[in-house]
Amino acid sequence: MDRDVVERARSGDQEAFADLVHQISDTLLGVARRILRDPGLAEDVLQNALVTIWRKLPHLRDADHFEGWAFRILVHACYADARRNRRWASTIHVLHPDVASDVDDIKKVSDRDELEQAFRRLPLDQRAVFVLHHHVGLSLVAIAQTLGIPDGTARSRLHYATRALRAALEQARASQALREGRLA
Amino acid sequence: MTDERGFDRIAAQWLDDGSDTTPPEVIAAVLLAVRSTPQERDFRILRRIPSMTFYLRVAAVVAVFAVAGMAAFYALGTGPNVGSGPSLDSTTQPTSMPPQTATPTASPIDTTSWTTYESDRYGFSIDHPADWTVAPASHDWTMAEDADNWLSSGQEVFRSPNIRVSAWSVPVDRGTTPETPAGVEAWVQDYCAQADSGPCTVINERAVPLCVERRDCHPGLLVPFETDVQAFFTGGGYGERMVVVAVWWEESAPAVAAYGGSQALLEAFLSTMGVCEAGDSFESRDPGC
Repeated sequence: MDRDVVERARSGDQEAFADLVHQISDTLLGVARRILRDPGLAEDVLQNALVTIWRKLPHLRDADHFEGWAFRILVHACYADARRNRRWASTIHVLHPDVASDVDDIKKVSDRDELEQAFRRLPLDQRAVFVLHHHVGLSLVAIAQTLGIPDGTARSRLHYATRALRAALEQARASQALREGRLA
Repeated sequence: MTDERGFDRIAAQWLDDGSDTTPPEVIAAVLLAVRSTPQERDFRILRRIPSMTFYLRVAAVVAVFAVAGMAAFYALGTGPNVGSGPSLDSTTQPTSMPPQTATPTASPIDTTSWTTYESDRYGFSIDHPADWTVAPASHDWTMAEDADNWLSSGQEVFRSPNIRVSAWSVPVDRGTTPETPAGVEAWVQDYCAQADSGPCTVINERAVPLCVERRDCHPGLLVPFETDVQAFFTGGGYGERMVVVAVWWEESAPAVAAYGGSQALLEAFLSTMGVCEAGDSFESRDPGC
């Protein structure tokens, strides 16, 4: 992220902020979409988060930390949206990839569905840590700093999320093996 | 069993599914909202006061009052110009107008030290403050592609740190060039309906008529919108093209206060293009037109 652009946006330059939006919106949308598992909700949350980022930019102390600070606002916007709107908990919107992978096989489709269902049962704070770690690639220390939580809390959230998803994956694999055994 | 590395790989692949391209309408909505959303002030220094010494506290309080006093002094328009701001006519006061209502301003900005920019793409010249930066247009502006994007790169852009002024022109169908303010207003209505400026109603009630070339007075309009002020004119040396010049701040925005408001700033740019307000006081207001 260009420090100069962040500084200009922080001082009220709307054009610089537009540059920032173009630079970071896809990344933020990706995170929101993966946490919420609903493209429409993710776009709403992104929109709210970007306006909040603009409003609060003068409070950003170090322009070099803009991206992490933006992640924090986005994740909190996800929490806030989930509190206001329980659609994420009650409605199933299975996210399908836009382009099917040519290496996809039955087993991977099964894995994906099980992961999807298991992920939806996770609390949002665990989802956020999981996405920031596995999708964005942040370390647990960086996640803790980004979200303003203790390192141990970040570690335990990732642990519980991983345990639940691994269990779902193992179950899917076992069911798949059973089906393949019956067919043979 | 799935080992840890295998699980990480599967999870990463699953998470990577799908597209993360932000729809343009989401970005447009954000940028539109930002135009009318003020940033929060940062009062960090106040939070530090408890940990400061007595003398530092006194100094901080004095400094805060001094800054507030200077801000009020300049906001009232009674102070001299500093830095790169414009020089206002010392015999007149900057105007103070409510947004949405354009009235003739009484304090033309001195543009004699401005730098001339020649737009090869659009065939006009326009002056801008010497310390502003210029971003030339990268493509021809079109109603269909650019009207709803106030940051379109089809504009010739002049920027100070916090102000964006842009100019461009668009062909008018042969034989349909507006020859009256009402004709220009009809064009502006059409433009407004497609642009992200507004409101588009009662434009004639808040617009200021403009003249292109003193003798012939080809028509133009200066129109204040909710978050910006724009001028539209055609004819004379500009031929069968509608020229648009915009200051992307509303009249009362702090960013343009040093220039006496966005309308005064726009009029300064227009005066360098030979475009002035129409009316009885026309000749005395700006002999450069």
